Amino acid sequence: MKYTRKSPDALGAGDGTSFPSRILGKLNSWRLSFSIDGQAVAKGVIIAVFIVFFSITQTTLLSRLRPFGAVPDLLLPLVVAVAMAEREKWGAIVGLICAFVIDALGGVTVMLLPLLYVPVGIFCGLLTTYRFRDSIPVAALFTVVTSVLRFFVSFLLALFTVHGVTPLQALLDFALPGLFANLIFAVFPHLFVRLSMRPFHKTRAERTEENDRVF
Amino acid sequence: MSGFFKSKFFYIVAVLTLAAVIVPTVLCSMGLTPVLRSAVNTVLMPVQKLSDKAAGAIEGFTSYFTAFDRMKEENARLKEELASLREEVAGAREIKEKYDWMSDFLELKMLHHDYELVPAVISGRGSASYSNVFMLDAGKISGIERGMPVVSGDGILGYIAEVGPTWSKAVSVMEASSSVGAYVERSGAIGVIEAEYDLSLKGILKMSYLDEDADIKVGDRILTSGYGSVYPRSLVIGYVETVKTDDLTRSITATVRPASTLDQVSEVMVVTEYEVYSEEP
Repeated sequence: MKYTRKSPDALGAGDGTSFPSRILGKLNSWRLSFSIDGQAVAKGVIIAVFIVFFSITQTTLLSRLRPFGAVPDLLLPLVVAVAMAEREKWGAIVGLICAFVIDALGGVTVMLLPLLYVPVGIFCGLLTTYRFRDSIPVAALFTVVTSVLRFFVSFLLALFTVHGVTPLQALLDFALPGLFANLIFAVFPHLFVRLSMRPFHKTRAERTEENDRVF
Repeated sequence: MSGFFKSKFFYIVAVLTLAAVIVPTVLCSMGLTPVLRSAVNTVLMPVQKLSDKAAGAIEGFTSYFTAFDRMKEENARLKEELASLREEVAGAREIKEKYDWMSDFLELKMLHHDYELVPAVISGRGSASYSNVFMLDAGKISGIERGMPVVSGDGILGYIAEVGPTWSKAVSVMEASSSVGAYVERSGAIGVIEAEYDLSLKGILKMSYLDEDADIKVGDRILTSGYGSVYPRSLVIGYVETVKTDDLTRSITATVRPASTLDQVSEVMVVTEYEVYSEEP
């Protein structure tokens, strides 16, 4: 992927005189290559709804039920799913927002999650673009790898924020149950993102053609 | 792929990520709340509150399946109690809950005339297993400030650690790093209530720093001593479960079952004002 400057017109910036056009022109001059159009806005809204839904579910329902004795992290698989569907830039932005929201809603004083979520968003996006393709086995692989990373972060956070906990207790009481819970519950964010992002990746004609072929 | 890591987008995201880690951590450790973090909590608080109510209902439903053995025993016991409670339970559960809450509120207010109490609802709990925090739906607008004690009608629950305009975040008394000055109501023996990780797993607190000749028995009620900066005097902490004397040092330690736990309550009170206890006349 080349990061070349596109003309303002290519980004829908018009003649460059109106305020939105100037903003888009400015963003373009920064070489961010991040176009904002109707489709991007729709995707943004959908992903924002998912972030709110999963963060609220995590801090209310799942923090009460504690499946497998832990509160599963739903936002990390959401970052992975978005990064796979929309690639590295969306992955990075969604990773940053997710880490911020979940830390604000129910985090501890030490905030480490942005250091996990953002690299996960970037690398899952880049690897999907350049090494793998967006498929269920790859999603499963990314989920396992990121859950293992989350396992280490949980272990360290438990060790340093829970007073008097031994490394073995941090491992058995927090990190391992968290790993199992994360692996099991990761399917929901992936499912939601896959189903909702699907219409954005194919034109209606392509989908109709495909449906005609199937049926 | 390396092009991405040379792009301005990457540098901007990297800077924002570091800022998202460093700024809130530093501000929170200084007792301040970052504006963006506060905004997120303010916006999401109503949704979180609604969701927590729904979660409570779902939890009640699922616990039937997840804790079957415990439910079975409880069911047998409840059957015995059912006959005597039938009249009381019939119909108005919601009204009764409200009534209980109000009477707790009044009782506390009558016992402690100097208290200014602000009611709040628990709207969420910690986002991770190691997090011993809970969210309340009242904040600065209601007069809540950092360090204020959170109580229920039965006893203390924790203290306010972070405050926003319409929300606040409290740390449970079961948090292992916190300690509370305490005394035995019957004998006046003074000690310190602490949460130890092993005991907190069983929902129990530890009372230590008791004198060698301290008069303390199983079943004694433990109250806050008022020493320290958070809790006012004479709030119920819990009841003594075991008392142990160390053979070598002769020091006494006791385990205390908290009178009030987060699992049992959804509505709490924040003590916004009280007269600080002093032994001097």
